[in-house]
Amino acid sequence: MARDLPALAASLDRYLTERWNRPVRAVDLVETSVGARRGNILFDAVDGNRRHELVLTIYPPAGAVIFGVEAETEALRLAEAAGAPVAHVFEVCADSGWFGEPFFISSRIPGDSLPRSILRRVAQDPTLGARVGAQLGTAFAAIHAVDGADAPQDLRRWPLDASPSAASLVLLEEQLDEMLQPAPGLALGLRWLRDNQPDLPARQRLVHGDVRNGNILVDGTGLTAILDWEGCHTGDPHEDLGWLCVRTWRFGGDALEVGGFSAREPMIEAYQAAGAHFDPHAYAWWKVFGTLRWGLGLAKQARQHLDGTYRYIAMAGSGRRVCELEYDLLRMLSKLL
Amino acid sequence: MQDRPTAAEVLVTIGEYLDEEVLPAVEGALRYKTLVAANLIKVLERELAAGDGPQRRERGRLAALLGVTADGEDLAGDLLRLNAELQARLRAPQLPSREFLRAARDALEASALDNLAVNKPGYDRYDQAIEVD
Repeated sequence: MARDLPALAASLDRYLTERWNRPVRAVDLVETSVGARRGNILFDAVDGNRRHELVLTIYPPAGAVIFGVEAETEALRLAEAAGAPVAHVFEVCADSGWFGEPFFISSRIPGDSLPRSILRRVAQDPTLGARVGAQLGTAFAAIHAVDGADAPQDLRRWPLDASPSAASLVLLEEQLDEMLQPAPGLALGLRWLRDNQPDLPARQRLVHGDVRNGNILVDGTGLTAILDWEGCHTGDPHEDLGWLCVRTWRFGGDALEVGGFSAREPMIEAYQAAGAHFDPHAYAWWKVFGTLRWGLGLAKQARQHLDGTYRYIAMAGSGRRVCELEYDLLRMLSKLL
Repeated sequence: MQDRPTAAEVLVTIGEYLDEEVLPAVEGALRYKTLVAANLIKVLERELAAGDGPQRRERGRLAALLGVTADGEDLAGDLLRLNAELQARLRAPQLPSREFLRAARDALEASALDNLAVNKPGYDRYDQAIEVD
């Protein structure tokens, strides 16, 4: 359901005028991804003779979030301070009175986020893909430079001395238990993951958790921002590298591991050049983990459709995509078992 | 005997209607959902054309792997039971032998390929094994 943009504009006018202590008007509101549970509304704040290009992010209802708006925006600020390309947070408000749920207001950054638009840009500029790959490596190094102990308490999914791989596997075991039908292919992946865990990382770090082609902004110059920090947490940095390289996020550009636009090497070289530690086994492990995680995620979407939690035809279609992830998983296991 | 059109003919008819009449007329979220629907129609067309051959082959592979007999009338029931049995073995705390894991992987890949042939033909054009050392 689309949001009532004139009502949002009126509330933004009142909020910003009160906060900035001078008359401010919100104009040109555009809702991106209409119907998503989390609202992202682009707008301009007219402030005297200045215009600020901003984004209003409204949280989904409380049951659908892992942590609050303060923790997410604190992670954004830590990532920004570390040098990662992220939106700058101007306003944070945990009060649901304004827009029905907590929200924050951040800078609007230029660029395409639709995967196919990004792949079209890359097809037109032969140097762009590898450049974005390298920029992602540098950005990851910045994010992963944030020590887990400095991250907000709410982002700690497990104790800082726990094994992120073991703790993450518990979550997947639970999802496998919830499936509507037996899935021995996915269970085999889980078996391998359980028996071949990577070394404990020296320190847990800030991990974004969902960097993929679809959650980044790219323009003609390259990577401009990493979006959607709602799943960030402390953990093993290789989780981010492996998840980005799951085949689904390549959108047909299969041979280019990073989002279908870059080989792995530019990303890893830039990551290491920026001082981050790369362990090939941990990378492979987290890529297998990510492939299994998304296979289980698609099965969960189909289950939510079938049990009526969220009737939506695209989620029914997701059930018939589980075999893609199962196949990728089994092909990787052909080398690993 | 059911009257014509057959189930396959009905699916082709719905698919043509979505492709030729609905898709050119819709945009945005409605277009996306219509594309999903049109794709699912084609999935069903392929599933119907494949018949029960893929399930029979899957049952044969699983029975051989697990060392049991399964050749009764209840194909769907057998598949549920055999897949659940294999999953239980793979999740058991005691480590199955490497030979068993490899044989299970081979059998599961063959079934995944049969599923892909229905759900996403051509997906096996790329082999992610080359990304692993």
